[in-house]
Parts: sequence; C-alpha cells; structure tokens
Amino acid sequence: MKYSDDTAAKHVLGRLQAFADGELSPGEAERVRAHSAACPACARALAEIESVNAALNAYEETRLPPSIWPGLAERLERRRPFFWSVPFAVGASAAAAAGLLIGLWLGSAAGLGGGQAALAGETLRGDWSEVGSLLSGAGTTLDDLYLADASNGGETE
Amino acid sequence: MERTAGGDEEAFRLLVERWERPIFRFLDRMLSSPEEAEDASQETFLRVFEQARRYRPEGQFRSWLFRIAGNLARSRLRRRKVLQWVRLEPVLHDRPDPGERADGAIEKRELRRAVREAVRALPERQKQAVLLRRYEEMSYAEIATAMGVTVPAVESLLQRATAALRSALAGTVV
Repeated sequence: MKYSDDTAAKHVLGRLQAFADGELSPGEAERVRAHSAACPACARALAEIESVNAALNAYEETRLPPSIWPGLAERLERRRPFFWSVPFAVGASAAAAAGLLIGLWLGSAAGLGGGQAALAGETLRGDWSEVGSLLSGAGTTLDDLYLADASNGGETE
Repeated sequence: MERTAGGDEEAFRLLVERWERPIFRFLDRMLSSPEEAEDASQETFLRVFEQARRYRPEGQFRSWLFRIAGNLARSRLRRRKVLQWVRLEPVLHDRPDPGERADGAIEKRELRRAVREAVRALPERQKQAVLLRRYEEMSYAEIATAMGVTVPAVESLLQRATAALRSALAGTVV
C-alpha cells in the first residue's frame, strides 16, 4: 500500500508521538502501525521519536540527598506563627489573669460602684475564656488553628 | 493525606518519606541544581502541609503534588532568568556541537552530558512535560492535570520537545 496523499501522511505524523508513548486506543494504534509500515516518511519519523526516547534513558541519574525531613521539620516549626506558639499562649493567659486581678483591685481602690467593677471583671473574664476556648475547645489544636490561617495564604500558580 | 490535613505531623512525615525522592529527582532535573532542588523540595512539602485541607481525594494525589512542585520550579526558573538579565550574565546552555561527532562509539559519559544539556535547554513547559512522561512515567491525562493543561496540549508539548531534542542531539546520539 502506497500513500501519496499528503493529508493522510500528516495526520499520522501528528499521532506518532502518542503512538510511541502508548497513548492511542487499540484501533488508532493499529491504524498508525499499518500506515507506518507502508509509509517511509512516517516510519522514519517514528524511528526518530523512538531514538530520542531511548536517548533520554541515558539522562544522568540524580544523586539523592539524605532525607529532607530534618530541614523540613525545622522550616515547618519556623513558619508556625508566633501568635499560636505555646509559650505565647501561656504568657497571654498569665497576662489576662494579672489584668483581671489588677482591674478588680483598681476598681475597688478608685471607689467604682460594684456594678462597674463587675462589668470590668466580666470583660476581662470574657477575654480570658476566649483564649481558653481557642486553646482547649472541642477538637481544636494549635495545628488546626495554624492550618485554618495558612489555608488562605497558599497558592500553586 | 486526610491525617495530614488534620495536622497530624507523623502522617505528614510518612508522606514526605514516600514522595521526597521522586520530587527531588524531578526538581533536580528541572532546576539543574541539587542544592536548589533540595530547597524547592522542602518548599513543595511545606505547601502540601499548608494546603492539605484544599486537597480533594477524588483528584490524583501525585498530579496535585507534581503540580505544586512544577509551579515552584517554573517560578524559580523565571526568577533566575530575570536575575541573569539584571546582572547581564550570559545564559550558557553548553549545547553539543553537531560538528564534534566522535568517531566510533560515543562514551556513556558524553552521551549523558549531551542529553542532560539538551533537556536543560528545552523551554520550561516542554521540559516539565518530558520529565513527567519519561522519568515519572505519567500518562498524558496525569501530566495534563499536573500542568493544568489539556491532553492535546500535552501531546503537542511532547511533540515539540521531541523535535527540539532531536535537533539538539543531531549528529551526536540521534
């Protein structure tokens, strides 16, 4: 069988890469195989693709480093926002407790009415319980808080 | 991956252990620098950890992972080009001279060098497609997902890459 029709030959040339990569359906692969067997131009092009593929096997094997985990773990730790670190949380809790006590003492020392002092104390207790719930709320961990924050900042493009 | 998304660091460590070699190998070939590849590998996994909650299990994890790595590599290559331009440094590709064909068999080392330089000189996206196909043995569909393009676009990228490689290696090994 001879192919003199340029269009037919070009069409097969356009599928040779996929054929060499085993990406064609069985029917189309058979069509390309039959065509290439009869068409010197396509047979030559196919041989060139296959020789390039074979040459790529000679690509120098890369030297693999030891595990990247130690360095990665270090970077992971560095990226953890300071705000959610345990020392900060403990410090914040202690500051809130101290603030509550000072507020109550100042309130009574300045002669604030019982209602006002109670309001100031309530506000500070509210802050305290917010920090507490962030740290010990149901199912919430420091990692969860960090991930929730980081999930808005990443990008892949 | 689900456990990693939940912040389980041990699960994340196992995931890194499973994938760090293919990712490093891919990045080393993309960037032609083991040091930069190691740094970019770490960056890739940091992003995996940070974006784990966005991952949808119906997608192929490998494609998602290599998409992150590929985007990072291309970003670094672009930055490198800008820096080379700013510093007016010549971009050296060290292509093999087709006129230098040696008589008889070409030594293995020479062949490796020629192939390495030919791949290095490919445009970024063609290089990415070639590396994913030849060395990670991904299907066209997987490559399409990993590169955010269509399957016909992958076929076209590989066709152009093969033509460029054939030309670069002409008289040497092809």
